[in-house]
Amino acid sequence: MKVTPIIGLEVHVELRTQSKMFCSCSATHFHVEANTNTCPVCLGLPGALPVPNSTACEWCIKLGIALGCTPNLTSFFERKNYFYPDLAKGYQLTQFEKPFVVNGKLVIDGQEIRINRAHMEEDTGKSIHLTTSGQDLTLIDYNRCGVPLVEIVSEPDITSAQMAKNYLLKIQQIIRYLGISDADIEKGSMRCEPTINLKIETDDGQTVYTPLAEIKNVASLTGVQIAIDFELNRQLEEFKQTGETKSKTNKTTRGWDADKNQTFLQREKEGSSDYRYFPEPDIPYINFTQAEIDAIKASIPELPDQKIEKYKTVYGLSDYDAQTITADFSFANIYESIIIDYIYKNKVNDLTKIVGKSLKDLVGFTDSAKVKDFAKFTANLFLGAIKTHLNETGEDLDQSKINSQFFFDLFTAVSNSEISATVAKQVIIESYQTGEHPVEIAKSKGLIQVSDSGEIEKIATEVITNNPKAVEDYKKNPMSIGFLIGQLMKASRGSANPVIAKNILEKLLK
Amino acid sequence: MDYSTLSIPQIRQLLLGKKATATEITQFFLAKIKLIDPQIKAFITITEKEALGKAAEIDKKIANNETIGKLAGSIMAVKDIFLTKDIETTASSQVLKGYIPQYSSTVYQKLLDQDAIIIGKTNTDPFAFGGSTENSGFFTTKNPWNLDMIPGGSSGGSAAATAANLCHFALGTDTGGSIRQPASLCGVSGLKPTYGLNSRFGITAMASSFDCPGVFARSVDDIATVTQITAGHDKNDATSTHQTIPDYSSLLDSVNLKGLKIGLPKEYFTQAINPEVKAKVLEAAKVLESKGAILKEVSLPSTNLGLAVYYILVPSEISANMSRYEGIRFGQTSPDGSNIISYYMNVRGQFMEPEVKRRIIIGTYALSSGYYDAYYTKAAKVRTLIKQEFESVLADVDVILAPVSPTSAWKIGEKCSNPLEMYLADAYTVCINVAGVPSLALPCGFNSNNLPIGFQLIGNFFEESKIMSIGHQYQQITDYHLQQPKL
Amino acid sequence: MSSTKITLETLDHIAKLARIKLSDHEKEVFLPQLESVIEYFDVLNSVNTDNILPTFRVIEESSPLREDIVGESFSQKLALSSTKNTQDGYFVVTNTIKK
Repeated sequence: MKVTPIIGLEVHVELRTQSKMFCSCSATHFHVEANTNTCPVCLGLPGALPVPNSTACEWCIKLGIALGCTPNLTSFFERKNYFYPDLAKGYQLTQFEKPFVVNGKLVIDGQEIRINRAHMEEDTGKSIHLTTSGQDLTLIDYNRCGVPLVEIVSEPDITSAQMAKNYLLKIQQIIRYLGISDADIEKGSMRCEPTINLKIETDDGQTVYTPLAEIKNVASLTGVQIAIDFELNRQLEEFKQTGETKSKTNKTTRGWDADKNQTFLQREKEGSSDYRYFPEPDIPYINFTQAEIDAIKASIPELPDQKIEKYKTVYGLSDYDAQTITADFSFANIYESIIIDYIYKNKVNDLTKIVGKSLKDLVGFTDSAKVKDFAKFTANLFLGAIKTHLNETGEDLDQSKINSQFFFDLFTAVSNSEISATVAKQVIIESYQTGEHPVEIAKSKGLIQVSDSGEIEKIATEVITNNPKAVEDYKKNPMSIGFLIGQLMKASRGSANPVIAKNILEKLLK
Repeated sequence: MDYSTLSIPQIRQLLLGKKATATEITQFFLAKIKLIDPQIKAFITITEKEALGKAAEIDKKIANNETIGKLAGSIMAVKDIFLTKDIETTASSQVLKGYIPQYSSTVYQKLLDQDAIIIGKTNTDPFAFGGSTENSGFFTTKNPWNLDMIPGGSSGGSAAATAANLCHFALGTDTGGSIRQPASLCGVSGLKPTYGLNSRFGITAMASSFDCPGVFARSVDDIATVTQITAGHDKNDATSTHQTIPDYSSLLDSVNLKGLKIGLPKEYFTQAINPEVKAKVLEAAKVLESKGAILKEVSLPSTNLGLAVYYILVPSEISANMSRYEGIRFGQTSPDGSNIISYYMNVRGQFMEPEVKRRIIIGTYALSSGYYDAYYTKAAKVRTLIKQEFESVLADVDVILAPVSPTSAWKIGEKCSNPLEMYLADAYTVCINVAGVPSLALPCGFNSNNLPIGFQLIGNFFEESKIMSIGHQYQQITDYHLQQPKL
Repeated sequence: MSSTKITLETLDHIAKLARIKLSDHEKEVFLPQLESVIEYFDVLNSVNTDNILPTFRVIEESSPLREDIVGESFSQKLALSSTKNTQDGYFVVTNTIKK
């Protein structure tokens, strides 16, 4: 029996617009007192009418294009009719027949995942269920009602829980690059609902499919992965027991219990499947000209995959380094602004920061070997010293404290062996904090690398004298010279050129 | 002085000339309403406090030599589906009994801003669902011309109040004839403008792609004055027009009746129309002909399909627009219900009037899976045909003249047990809403029982100034609009 | 021709979809009324609408979009003012089933 997982993902992204989707109430709903950002429109009062948010629509198209989708020049909203207290109007404004964008794709782990569509809709309010004096109550807060959501629907091309997680990570990264949402799964600004079933090829040559299950309320990325794995397993077991196969009517909705790490069958929402979609009469067709679409496309910054490719090809970074730097959009851009400045240094007198240059504009521009050396050098500082410092302080990288010239000069000093790599790491952090030139800091602290053989020989002689046991160890095992080098570096307060130090020690210990 | 027979500009002149105060005028109307309204029951709420408050405001402005609004001193009655902030708005339904809105409709606010004085909220069929005002969740309004007769609907209260001179003008809405039909049955003038001319924001929605707020008055001139204020783009209504609004009042004499081509659609003059109604409507056409207009028979072949299109699309939109009425954030509520589904079913079942329920059910059915293509999509396609027919005929003639109602007013209770019969009475009005074009209803005579008869002038999109000019000139030559019921 | 007879079962289903409770008496009265209205719709079956696009809105003017600027909202008090069923700033519905 051959079992192939079939997974599709529905992702809802809350856009960080100022105002809601169909009214001008503030779209902020976190840590806001209940029902303080409402108006006739989002409260669904009699006579209220929706007016769509232009930025939200543009961002939906922007995201769609970034996912490789094709925009529909004309699209429209529809009413999805169902009853629930947190849905003020008794229908949700969404898109069905003609969404803003269609037919995109993402490549995840070498697999092409097709994206059916991305469309705009509005969020519902929040319901809090509690029991007071034996009575079940639901408290409703409409602050979130009407907040813009983009729904991204993939085709069921995902074949493992790990791939699903990576798909979600990539979408999250792209969304953050575009700056249109925090895409925070824990906070609920990005929600994922997998739909899962199995393709089973039995030993006697038959191919069958298990019934579809949609899983709701998974509140973390790890949770999604675990939930999918659990469900894949559960479906296989159930199939072995019941042999039930997929039909038009046996799709189920399952909830995720994060404590027990299992999915469970949710109560069927009676009559909920007939949403009676029809075009929204209160909002005319939304038309975008090709020029407007082009402008939206032009506003898309270089996306993660393109950046990674550039970092590896033009800057010569390792795959790991490239992935790590590009994980965060602004971190990558600040790093890159230094490299761009370096590349243009000889061409442009004022160091105009040109961030996000495309791959084709950079290749062959100037001495690429030198660029690679500098890029690698700077990457090491960013990933080593700077990232560590930021982790310790919990801060984000502050662009105003980064001075490209400082990095150029530091690179020159290290290349000339005036400053060791170790010292470079120290002084760049101090420079970031104080604003002083890192080479000056090194000088003032006497950390300029000593490459003068004479100087080093003096210190080496002292180290040999003070460490007889280590000398003996060395004589027995030349590989143990590391200790003596370390002592020499310590004695020189890190300023000795370690290569020369080693040579001199070896020479002296012959 | 009888302030109720004056025009809107005349009232304003009185104030400016200090011949009367706004307070005096208001008190006059309040007294008249107290005397007459118990007979006709046009009003659900009489807004005495607000009226006198506004009047005092206006009088203060005059005393301080400040500018007063263009409608200063004019008394308006407002159909109870227009939300009026801080004033109970019931939509004539038990669902909203006691509802005090937190905001006002744009059209109403525009009129307040021009110093119109609201005298009361008028009765209607609940949520405007009906053609006789008999479906009201509170009581039936009587036709001022004969108290045993219906005033028409759904804006029956506004039409009756205007006919009885209990206001200078009244607000209504026309989704399938709900301004034009009661106007004609009550012998007053009423304008259904082009869809999108007046903002729908703040009016309980019936059918979103059909609803047109509009005005009743005794003269076209006053309708023009008021429409000037209400018309135009509202940022709160994405379907409201961006067109520049012409100065309707200054264009009342602009159309040259000589050589004006008037189309008489043959489908509107069949056996179905009462002979007396037909005679009076044709007479109106003849009056215009006597001034040089050219009458021409035209054809709107899809007329007989209009009712089916209307009664599929309108209830469909109604069914969704009514979903917000569940007693959670506003409206009457009921604590019963063992779970959320029965909560909804009980609240809506308990307070919604039969006609409200009927239309929601018809609409839900038409949109439900399995029927959507056969009904909703099909009706929407036929809508295209009907719209194209009007555009094509109106490219050929300058205006279309037609009857409004196949009969004059009928007896209260006569048709209410047969909804289909009621729906069929809309035959001459619904196609205009299906197409979205404007139409002006004008009184053109009386039948042998002294019941009013009206006709309509139908123009192309945004041709309000044209039809109002023809109507204005018709009213210069005739005096049906000046007749008053004896109350 | 098609007979669109509405059964009681259909009416029950539609009433539930629409969340409106109908008494037995109402169902008795409504059923024939609804049937006559819906049968009337069949007049459209004879119309040829091949190649006709549906009209969902009669006026199509451009740019229904709104700039992303925050405007005024109701105060909490105003938002809750039209109902008595409130608690600590929330709207309250009783007797609901937990989701």
